[in-house]
Amino acid sequence: MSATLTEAHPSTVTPEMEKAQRAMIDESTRLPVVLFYASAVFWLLVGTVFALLASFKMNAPTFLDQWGWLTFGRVRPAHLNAVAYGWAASAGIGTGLWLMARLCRTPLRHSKLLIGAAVFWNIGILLGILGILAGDGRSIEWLEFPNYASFMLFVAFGLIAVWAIIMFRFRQPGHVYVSQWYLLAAFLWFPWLYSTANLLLNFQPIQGGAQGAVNWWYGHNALGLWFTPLGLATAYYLIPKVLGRPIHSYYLSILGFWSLALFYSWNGMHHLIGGPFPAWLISASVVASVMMFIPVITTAINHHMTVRGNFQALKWSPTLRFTVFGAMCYTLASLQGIFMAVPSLNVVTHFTHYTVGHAHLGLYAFFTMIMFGAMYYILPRVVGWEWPSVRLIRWHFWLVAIGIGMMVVVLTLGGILQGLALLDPNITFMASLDYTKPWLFLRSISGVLLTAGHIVFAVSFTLLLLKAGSLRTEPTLFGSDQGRQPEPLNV
Amino acid sequence: MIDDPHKHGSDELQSHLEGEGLNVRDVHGAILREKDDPRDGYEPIPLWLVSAFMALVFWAGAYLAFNSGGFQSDVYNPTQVSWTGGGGAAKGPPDPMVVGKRLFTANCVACHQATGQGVAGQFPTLVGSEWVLSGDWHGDNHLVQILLHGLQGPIQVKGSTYNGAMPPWKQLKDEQIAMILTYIRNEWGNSAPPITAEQVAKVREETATQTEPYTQNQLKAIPAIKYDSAPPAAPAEGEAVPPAPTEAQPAATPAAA
Repeated sequence: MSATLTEAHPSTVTPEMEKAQRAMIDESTRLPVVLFYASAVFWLLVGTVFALLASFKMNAPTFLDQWGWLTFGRVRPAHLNAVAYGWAASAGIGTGLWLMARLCRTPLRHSKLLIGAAVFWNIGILLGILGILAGDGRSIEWLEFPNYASFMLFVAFGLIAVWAIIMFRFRQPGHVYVSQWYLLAAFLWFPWLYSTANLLLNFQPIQGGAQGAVNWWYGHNALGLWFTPLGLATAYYLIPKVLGRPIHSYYLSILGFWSLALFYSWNGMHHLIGGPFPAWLISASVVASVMMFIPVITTAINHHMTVRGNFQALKWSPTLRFTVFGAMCYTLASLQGIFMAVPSLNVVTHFTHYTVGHAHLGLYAFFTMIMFGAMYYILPRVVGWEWPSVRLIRWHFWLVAIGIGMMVVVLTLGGILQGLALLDPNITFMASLDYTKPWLFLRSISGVLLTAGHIVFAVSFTLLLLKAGSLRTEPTLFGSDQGRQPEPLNV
Repeated sequence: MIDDPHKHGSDELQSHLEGEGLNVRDVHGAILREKDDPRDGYEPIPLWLVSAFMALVFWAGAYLAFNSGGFQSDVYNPTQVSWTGGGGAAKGPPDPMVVGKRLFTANCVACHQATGQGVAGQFPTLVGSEWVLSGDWHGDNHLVQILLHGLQGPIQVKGSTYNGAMPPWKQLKDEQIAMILTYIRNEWGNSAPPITAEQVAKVREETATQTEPYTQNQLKAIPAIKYDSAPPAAPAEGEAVPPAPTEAQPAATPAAA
């Protein structure tokens, strides 16, 4: 490493030196980022196929039921684990690696650790999904992987956590930006959550009802202390970066981060309202869930005030459009989650498709959309090639935006009707299922839209890796193929 | 607005890159044109927001105070407020008639029935039985011994002969056996002094070598003891009986009689 670049005092760094530094950092992240992103896209396609199968089985229960490994009880957890660990986590790790190197202002060190982690991670997911299909799956939501697979994932995560600590230790001196708080926290929280939950549920199972408490402590924290901080770190970086504006308020960033860390970890027990648990445990979780107003409103204000006055940029920048869509859905999903934790409303939504809609609003409309945005920003830099086709990006955006919007709306409405029917003593359980049929049919249609969007994205992704088209230095912006003159955006 | 990155500063850039073996022509346009990394703004947190969050914190405290069941591990109903204003009131001992009934329902009703009447010709009745109430040649110690080690072979109960097998229940704790026995001696019109956990513990210790269920003749050979004639340190309110964690009742539960 050149001494002039890595050890220069911050006050003497010129813009040209920063550009040279960025070029070296992006160069150093190429292999691990592309490796995690490519596996993410692969598992996204696999997980989407399982999702479609599971959704079709809701419409036609006998569909493909002649093979045990394609029954609903295996296809559904295969979908969850393929998209949660295969797609979302891999995409989040890839983004997190790049952000970590950029924010530490130092080229990525020890990429062998990360490549090893990627290998373990993918073998673990492959083994896990095959294990679930073969009937080895555990009936513990979010932890269905058999022990031989979850062990591999833990090793991968241990390597990444060690890497994150090393990177942070050798960062350039100076301000630690908010994205980095979230990244470092997420990289340390997740191995802790994953190992504790697996130990207490699969390797040395604890007794009785406490298993339910550990299960949802993990299940909710995987969303709240892993995917959420990764998504927020990305949004906190990309929104001000693309717009070239400072983030609105450092103080709001601090309040948002620490209130999230304090309250989110208590939220899991609201999944157990009405269950055989001491009253204080549930009530503490309800309170913590409602207190999520603080981080959510704080973050929403911080992001909104940063974008304010620049919303026209969403017309041009794919990165910004996906990221802002995701950031807005973070607010929506979190507010919805708060209301679902209020016992009098939970009575209706619990055990219905409403919850499924909420899960997709969080993990897809928020997290996945931000990850798409991050890929649109990061990949041209690490591959050294602009996105070949703006038409593919446009198709991708509208297919997944309409698909996920439709899915959340139909599952929400269908779920409310289902919940009211379940509560009505004059309606039998079987009759309550009839209320869900038309909504589940519409859900399958929304799933087809999402599938089409994913295929378009995979094609676009592959073309980029193959460096299809011609070498360009200007960004691929919406509208640039329609003769419109894009606003000047340095994306 | 968009500066051509190759126009200005590229000589300086090239000099920085040379040490890294990179050429400015290989550096992607995106890296050159992008804006500086994000900075923080320092707008203050609005006062209305702080006020709203404080109100939320106040609500949280109130909600917990009224929906936490006094933070007791054995209260499952969130609106059952047993908030005593600090310190926590001493919990009463478990009522043997409540806990004993629960244990009896879980373990004994399959044969002796919820009515205690048993099944004619198969399972002997407990109602008015000299075996339960220590009438005739029977002693309280016999009853405890049967619970601990079981009973087999032909027996006579209230003039009827039964020939079945009662399994041993020594896996139950002393206080659980005491509560079951106290319950069956005072339910269905029965009335006899309570059995305490200490008495059960003593019998358990004395008969530790017993491996087989007793027969009627074996029991007859053991001298009968009536505990109420030589009462141990008044166990009636059972302060020596620690509430088993799984059986503990909130203080507010009324005694069932």
